[in-house]
Amino acid sequence: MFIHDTILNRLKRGCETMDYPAGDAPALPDRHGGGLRVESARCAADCSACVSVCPTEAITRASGQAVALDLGRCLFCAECVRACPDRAITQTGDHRLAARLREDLVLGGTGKEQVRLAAALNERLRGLFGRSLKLRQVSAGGCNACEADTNVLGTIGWDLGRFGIQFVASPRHADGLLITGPVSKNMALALQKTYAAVPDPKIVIAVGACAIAGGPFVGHSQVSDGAGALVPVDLFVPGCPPHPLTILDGLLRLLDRLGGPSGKG
Amino acid sequence: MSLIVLLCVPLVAGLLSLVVRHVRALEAINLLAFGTVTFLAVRLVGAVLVAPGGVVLGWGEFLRADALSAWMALVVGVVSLGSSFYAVGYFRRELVEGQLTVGRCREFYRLTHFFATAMLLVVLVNNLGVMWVAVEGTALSSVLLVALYNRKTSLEAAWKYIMLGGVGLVLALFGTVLTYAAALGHAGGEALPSFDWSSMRGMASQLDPKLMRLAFIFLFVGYGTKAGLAPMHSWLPDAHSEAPSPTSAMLSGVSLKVAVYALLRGHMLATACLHSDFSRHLLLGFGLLSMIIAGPFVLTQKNLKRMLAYSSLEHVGLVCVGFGLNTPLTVFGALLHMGYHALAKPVLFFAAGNIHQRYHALDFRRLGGGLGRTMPMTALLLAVAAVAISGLPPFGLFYSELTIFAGAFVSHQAWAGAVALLALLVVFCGMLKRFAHLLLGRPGAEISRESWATGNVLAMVLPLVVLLVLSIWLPAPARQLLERAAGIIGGAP
Amino acid sequence: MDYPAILLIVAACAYVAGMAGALLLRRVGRLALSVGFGLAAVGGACGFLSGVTSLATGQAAARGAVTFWSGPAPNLRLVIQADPLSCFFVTIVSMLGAAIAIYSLGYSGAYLGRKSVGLLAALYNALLLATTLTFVAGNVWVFLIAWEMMALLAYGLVTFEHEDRETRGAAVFYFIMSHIDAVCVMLGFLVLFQAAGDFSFDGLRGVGAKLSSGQRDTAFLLFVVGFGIKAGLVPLHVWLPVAHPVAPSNVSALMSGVLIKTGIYGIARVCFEFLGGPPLWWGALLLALGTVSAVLGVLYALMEHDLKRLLAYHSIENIGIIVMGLGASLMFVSTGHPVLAALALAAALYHTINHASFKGLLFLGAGSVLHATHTRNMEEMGGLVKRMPQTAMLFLLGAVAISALPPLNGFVSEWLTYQALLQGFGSTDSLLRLMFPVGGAMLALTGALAAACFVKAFGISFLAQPRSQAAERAREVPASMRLGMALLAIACLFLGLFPTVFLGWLGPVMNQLTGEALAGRLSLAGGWVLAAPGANAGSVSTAAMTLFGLSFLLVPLFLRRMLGRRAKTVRGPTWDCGLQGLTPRMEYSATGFSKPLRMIFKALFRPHREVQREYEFSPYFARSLRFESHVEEVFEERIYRPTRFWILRVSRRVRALQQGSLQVYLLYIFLTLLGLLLWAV
Repeated sequence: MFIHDTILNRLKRGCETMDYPAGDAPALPDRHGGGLRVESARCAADCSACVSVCPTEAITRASGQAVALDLGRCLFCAECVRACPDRAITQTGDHRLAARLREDLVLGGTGKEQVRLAAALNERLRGLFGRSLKLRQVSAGGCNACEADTNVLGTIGWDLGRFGIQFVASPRHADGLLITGPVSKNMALALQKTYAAVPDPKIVIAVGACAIAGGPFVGHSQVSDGAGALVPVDLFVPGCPPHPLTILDGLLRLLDRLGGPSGKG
Repeated sequence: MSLIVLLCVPLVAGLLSLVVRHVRALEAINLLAFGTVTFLAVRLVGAVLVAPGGVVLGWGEFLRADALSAWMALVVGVVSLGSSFYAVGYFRRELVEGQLTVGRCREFYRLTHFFATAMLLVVLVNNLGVMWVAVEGTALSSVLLVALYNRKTSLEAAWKYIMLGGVGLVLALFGTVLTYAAALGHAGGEALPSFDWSSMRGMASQLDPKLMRLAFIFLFVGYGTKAGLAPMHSWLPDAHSEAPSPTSAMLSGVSLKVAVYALLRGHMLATACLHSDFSRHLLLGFGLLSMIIAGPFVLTQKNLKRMLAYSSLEHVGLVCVGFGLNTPLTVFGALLHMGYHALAKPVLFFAAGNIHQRYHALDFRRLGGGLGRTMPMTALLLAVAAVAISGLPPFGLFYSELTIFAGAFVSHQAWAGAVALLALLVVFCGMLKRFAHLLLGRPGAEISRESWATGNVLAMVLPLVVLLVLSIWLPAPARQLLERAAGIIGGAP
Repeated sequence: MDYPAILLIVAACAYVAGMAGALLLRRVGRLALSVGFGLAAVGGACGFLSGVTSLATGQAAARGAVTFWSGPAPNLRLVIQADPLSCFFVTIVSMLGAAIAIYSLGYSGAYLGRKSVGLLAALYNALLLATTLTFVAGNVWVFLIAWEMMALLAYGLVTFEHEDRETRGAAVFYFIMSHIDAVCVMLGFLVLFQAAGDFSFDGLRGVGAKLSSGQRDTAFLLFVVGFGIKAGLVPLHVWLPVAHPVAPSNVSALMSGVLIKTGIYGIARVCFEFLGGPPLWWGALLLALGTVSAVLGVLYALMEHDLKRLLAYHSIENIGIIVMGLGASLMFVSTGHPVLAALALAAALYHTINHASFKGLLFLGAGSVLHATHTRNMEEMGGLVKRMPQTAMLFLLGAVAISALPPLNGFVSEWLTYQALLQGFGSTDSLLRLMFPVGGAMLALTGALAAACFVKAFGISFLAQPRSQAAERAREVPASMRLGMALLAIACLFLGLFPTVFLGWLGPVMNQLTGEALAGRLSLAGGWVLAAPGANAGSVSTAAMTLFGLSFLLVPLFLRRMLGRRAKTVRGPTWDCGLQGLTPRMEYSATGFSKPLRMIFKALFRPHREVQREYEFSPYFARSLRFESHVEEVFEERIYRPTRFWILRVSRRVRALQQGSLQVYLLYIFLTLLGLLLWAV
């Protein structure tokens, strides 16, 4: 009886996976402001209101220079948005934040108002991983929010598996690592050994502010301030934690699965 | 003539030793006397084989040696010789260590002669009354030997021995008298019938059966006490363990068998008279009882020489079982077993003597273990003798035991054979356990390795070598002798 | 006298020479070792050649008994008879004797200076001689003498390292059990003698017909108990795991490989030749006992962490399988199927020689491990595959063989046993139809459990990292030891890959015991395929399997060679979940490995587990922790220990009879007298 009910239920519910990326992305919740946009031209001459309110010192302004907002260190608390009198920093509501290079996350210079989104992998790697990317998740001492939001990608609504992306148990079976957490000293050796255990060619994805730059723990003696200190990172997904959509967008961008060379939307 | 000489040699040697005081001279007399006895016994065996009717007579008809007597005389000679050979070294060491006075040593040498004389008299004499006197003589001479050390325990052992032996012999005397009464009843008022065994055997069918039955019971209980059959054996462990080792060897090795001989003579008369299985059933039953009783005592035994004494109880029981089964195979086996046992058991007692002299203890717990390290030669010979006495090949006791059992099965008395075999198994287990822990392992305290004296070792090696040789090759005369003796016991005239 | 018989005499002379040489030279250890074991190897080789040629050329079947000498007691004659069954077993003992002798050349080196190697070599030669004599005995005297000498010499060898109290006690127990079995066998032969009146084997042939059925049953039971103790059949097996571990390893190999087979020889000869015409329950009893032995043997083996005790329990298991074959064969004889009886018997005897080779190999391997690490405890081993690679590979080969994996010899004999059991499924007799499926199922169970057990044995002992300093310092053993093992490994391979050849040699034995040679019935396709006789029987070809398997292996290797030339090979450490490093403490322990089975068979094992913890303020921060776990061996605990206890208790009570008072002793005399008077008069 139980099996019968389950099958019927399953048939009634049909396919519950979202259409994205074939269809529209789901809307971000109200509290989520999306990415940030920095127009340093609007800043007052010696205003550093945003610098002092940032909890992770992600915003710097050298005297006479333009303001620089490091999205990699940003916790997306939006205090700077509220503090800025000139509306130089604004929230875009855009979920797309993933970048290939660390410097692409530093906003504020001319032409760098927003994140330069991630380009796809080279042709060889796209050929290897494009339809089958196995990732080993390394949880390196964080609060587990990034892990939770990564984990939800495996559920039925998001269904990471339809892209051939899967989390595997052993790095020997993996094509790359997905690192979350600020890489505490206790996990440093584990991360290095895991990286060494992944066969070549491999990629590394850093998800969350902690993995990119240390997050709220930045500067602490017991953390390594992000995975970049230990292993070369191929994809940075900023956020604290990044929305699952952001992470998914980053992964698909990496594999050029969004459709079109620059992606949709 | 030769029979008289055979008897006189130890007697004269004994009388001579009464006047000699020098210990070395006593040793020499001892060895010489027993050597001569053995030699004469061998010649007697030859004589019996060729004599008409298979019997050698001496002093008219007073002394009579048939095949059985000759075999027994040979065994007496060999065991006595072996014991005296060992005794030389043993008593010299006792004197040196101050365990015994010179007087006591002299007493040993003197008494042993009389002991041997008495035993020879038992097996060679024809008259049943004199036979009883001779058995009493063995008891009297050996009791003083048992008490030689004059310790409290030896005196107690000797006291029990003389008391129980004495009571037994009184019963045997009564039995002997009743036997004569059985013969008398027939003769009527004519000349008194001869008390010779041979003539009584001749008119056995005319003896009064009821009196004979009664007589045999008394003879059985009486001589059975001397032979150490259970439940009359209680003196055995005490006496055999308290006596000095050469005497223990003679007691275990031959004096028990001489008592069995006396019993056999009565058994032959009873069987011939009653024509029933009465006497042999007694032999069989008590033999089995002895074997069964020995088991528990060996399993839980704490004293080395007592264990050896119980082993003797076992083997005498087996011999009686062999006679009790009364088939040619079993009787042959029993007689052979008497010989082989007489060669193996003394070696065990000699080894025990060596151990006692070294450690001044016979209790297994005090001896500990590792004797293989501290007394390698003694340990090796003890092990070999233990293998022999347990009835393991290649020694002859295996053959003699298996022959007895084969005979039991062939005559459809398999149950007796099975019980006997199981009893032997129990004793084997007990002895193995004790000897394994005694001889193997590490010695307890720091004890130096013992150096061995040639004479001592020879005394132990020679019997074993002879046993091994005889196990593989029994000379034809010996075989013939045993077959004749078996025939005599089995009913041939 | 034919050529193989002369070889056999040469072998005997070699053993005697080895014994004498070793004893005479015992002061010069190394020389005594070489002479003693060298001559033993020569003797073994001659014996092996003699046995094999006798069987292969059919000369064995044509031989009669030869009387060498007559002794003092009536019936005492030295009669030798080398018929096919004897030659088969002589082959086994010689093969093992030679291989182990070569092994001993290196192994005994460890005793030089400590103990008398000359004595070891002399006893070894003597034991080989006694065992060979047991097999070629032509009458009961020679058989019993050789049997008892075997027990005595084996005792001497088992107690060789007698400084240890445990060894002494174990050896005494072994000797007591051996003597009990000698007594039972002796009684059995005496029952036969009762009817035959003759001690020679020629005279005893077919004597069963002359006995009453009660006598035959008694004899059968006596022989089963007697030979069963020697073979290690449950419930008479308790001495085996006690005695085999404490002996020096070359002796353990000989004992497990050969001495317990003397029990099988005894059962085969007595049941088939002497008693004959068995009622159905005889075979059923053997089948039942064999099945129980097989299952219990492997179950207790799984619980062991002493490598040699584990192997000893496996011997019990394999003896169980052999006896199952014998039992099935007897049942087929009872129901009148001689061909199937021959098949089952062939399976049993094949398994006998197989067990000798792979168990010998495994014990020698265990000996090598012991030699290198000085411990028998598996929980202290590990990592030996890197330090002793050749020993590890040879042990692995033995493990694969004993687990009955194709294409090795264990597979072939178990396959034959299954075939024999399967044939009984369709039998008309209801007892067969009940017991054979159960037997087959239990055999399958033991096969699986045996494989699990050897995964444990090999894995824990050889793989992963060393668990102790001793294991870390292990080095590969001397070449002679490896050579000895390799010889047995070659035997395993031969017996596995060419079963039809071997079964051809076994033909005369089948013929002698069941009257059916199975000639030609067992091989198809010119000897490449082994087939069981019968309409629905199966067939298998281990040689073809091997070739097939090798080709499967070779083709990818070839392809890789050709195509994968540019692929880079990267070496890295084993993935360890990113931990600091793997330590031996993290490895699987033998006890842990067997825990699931311990729990499943809880009712049998009654595992007892005790944890004692000392702590100050919290149990999670203990100051000291003591863990004890043990498993109950049901026969030892329930039968042997209580029996021993009660016998000693009763003995102590009986001792009260000798209580010291003279009056009581006098009372005994008078009571006896009184009793006799009342009874008789």
